[in-house]
Amino acid sequence: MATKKTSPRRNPMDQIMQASAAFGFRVYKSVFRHSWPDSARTRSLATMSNVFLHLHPTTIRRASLKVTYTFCLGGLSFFFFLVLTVSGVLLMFYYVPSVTQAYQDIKDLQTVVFAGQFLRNMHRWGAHAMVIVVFLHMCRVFYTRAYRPPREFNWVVGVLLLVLTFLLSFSGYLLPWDQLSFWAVTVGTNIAKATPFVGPEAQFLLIGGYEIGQNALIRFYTLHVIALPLAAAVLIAVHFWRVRKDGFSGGL
Amino acid sequence: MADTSQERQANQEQAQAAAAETNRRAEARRRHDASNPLDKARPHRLLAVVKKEAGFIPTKEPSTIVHVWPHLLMIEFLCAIVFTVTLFITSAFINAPLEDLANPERTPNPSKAPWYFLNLQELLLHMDGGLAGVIVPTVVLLLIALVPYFDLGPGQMGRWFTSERGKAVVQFSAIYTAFWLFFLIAFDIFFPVKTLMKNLFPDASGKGILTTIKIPIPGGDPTYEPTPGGMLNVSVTPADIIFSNWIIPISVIFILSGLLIFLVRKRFNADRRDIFQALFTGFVVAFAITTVVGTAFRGYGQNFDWLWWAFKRPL
Ligand code: HEM
Repeated sequence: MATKKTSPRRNPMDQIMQASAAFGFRVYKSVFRHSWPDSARTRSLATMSNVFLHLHPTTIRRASLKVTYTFCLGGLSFFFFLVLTVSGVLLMFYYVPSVTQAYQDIKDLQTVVFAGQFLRNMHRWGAHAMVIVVFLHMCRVFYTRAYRPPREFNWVVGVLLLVLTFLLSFSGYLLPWDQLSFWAVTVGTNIAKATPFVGPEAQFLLIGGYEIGQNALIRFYTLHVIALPLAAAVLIAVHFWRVRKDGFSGGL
Repeated sequence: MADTSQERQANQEQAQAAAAETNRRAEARRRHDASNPLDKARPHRLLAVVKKEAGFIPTKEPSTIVHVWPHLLMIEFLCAIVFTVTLFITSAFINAPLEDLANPERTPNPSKAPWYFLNLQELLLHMDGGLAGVIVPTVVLLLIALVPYFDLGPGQMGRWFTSERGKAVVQFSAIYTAFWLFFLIAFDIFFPVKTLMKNLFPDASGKGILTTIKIPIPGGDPTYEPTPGGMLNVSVTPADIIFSNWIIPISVIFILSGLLIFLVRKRFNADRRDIFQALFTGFVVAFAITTVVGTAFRGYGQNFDWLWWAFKRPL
């Protein structure tokens, strides 16, 4: 009896451990559907059966992996887009797009909100980084001639994404409502006024008046947090889909 | 009672059969995985040894295929980690700027757009606002978008600068563009083209000729005020402005691009892809230089200021 009691199978602690391990494995399986990707089949499944990863093919030429070909720039463009989306949503909890409140909200963010300054910094530097990285990605694609047929259209989608990136950054620039943002956007939208034939109309459409004020702020805000990110997300989806369907140019 | 025990036995048998089936499948899978060539370290094998002349010489290494998990995903993951950490550190130590509350009454001098538009603001100093701010960027973006539809010549894809010649063309174009841009910016500082043109086309009041012309309105009432004399006032851009803001900058752009094409053709025997590379490089270098000059070296009244960057407005 005594020996039986101390045998591992009967130890209640071991039984609990075994049961929870089995349960844990069941939960893992229910999420991932396959065991740890260490065989050809499970590695294929790892990309195929995961909604976030399945944009990738399951296999790739080893030569395509060369980092000095892409310098990860397309992936980094997307990375910064995601960082900006997440930090931007968090900023939205604190920011009211009103000329009487916006500036104070930013001040509060920097002084009273926990990690608010850090959050704002991340959004600001991330935005600058995205402009640079997207531009460099375009240069990479150009100089490797990766726009060759059948990728012409994806290049055009890319150009639209570059424009959207500029517009996203510019529309966000007004929101802190300080001297910097106010005058930068005044200068920027005065350029729109110089459009031949429809200049004043174009500027009026953009800022909802003759000078930057509440109308301009709400327009820029709406563009910045909804319209432009949505457009960018759709175009990025198209862009990735086309990279996948047209085939990646590297390592051929 | 008998029924239930029979049922129980049947159930047990079924469970055993299912377990056996699972085992069989697992074994089959294992064997399948093991036989998958992707799991083997060596993707090619020696078939025969032939004399050198007899075989064809492959131009590429035999292509090896690897799984995206983990090979590509590991790179993406590392890249994301590195940049997350970098962004965290940057954000922990450098604060985003925040100036005083917006005040429409107090115009800062200089007033500048965000840095990525300062290239356009730089152009604005040298040409018409519509040309610099709208026409040039629109045309440039359209031309860039159209490149793949016209770059259809032979040659590889997937190699940096396409060829050694392409690389030389890009280097040459970068130096060429940098030289001309610095020259043009310096020229406009020491001999402002707008003033030069004003001196070339003076009128009595020194305002430039042809500022407004009057066209008689057929059947117009000569006594009608406030548009006097039955005349239609048409304002016409003065000749000096037409020259300094339109004709000269457009000519400069076309002549310098044309000269670049001519030179890379002559010097490097450039093909069409190389010409596109030359022009694109011209764009990138011009974009970079005008951005830096506009950001760091334009001070009070947008005048050139070597030291402005030292007191620079935040980004
Ligand atoms: C938000 C902006 C953008 C994102 C998130 C993005 C993302 C990506 C990614 C992840 C790839 C896969 C290969 C790589 O990483 O280089 C790619 C490829 C490509 N991108 Fe972009 N991109 C953006 C903007 C652009 C721009 C501005 C252009 C060109 C004007 C462009 C043109 C292309 C083309 C033609 C390919 C296929 C390249 C190949 O097969 O080698 N993209 N992009």
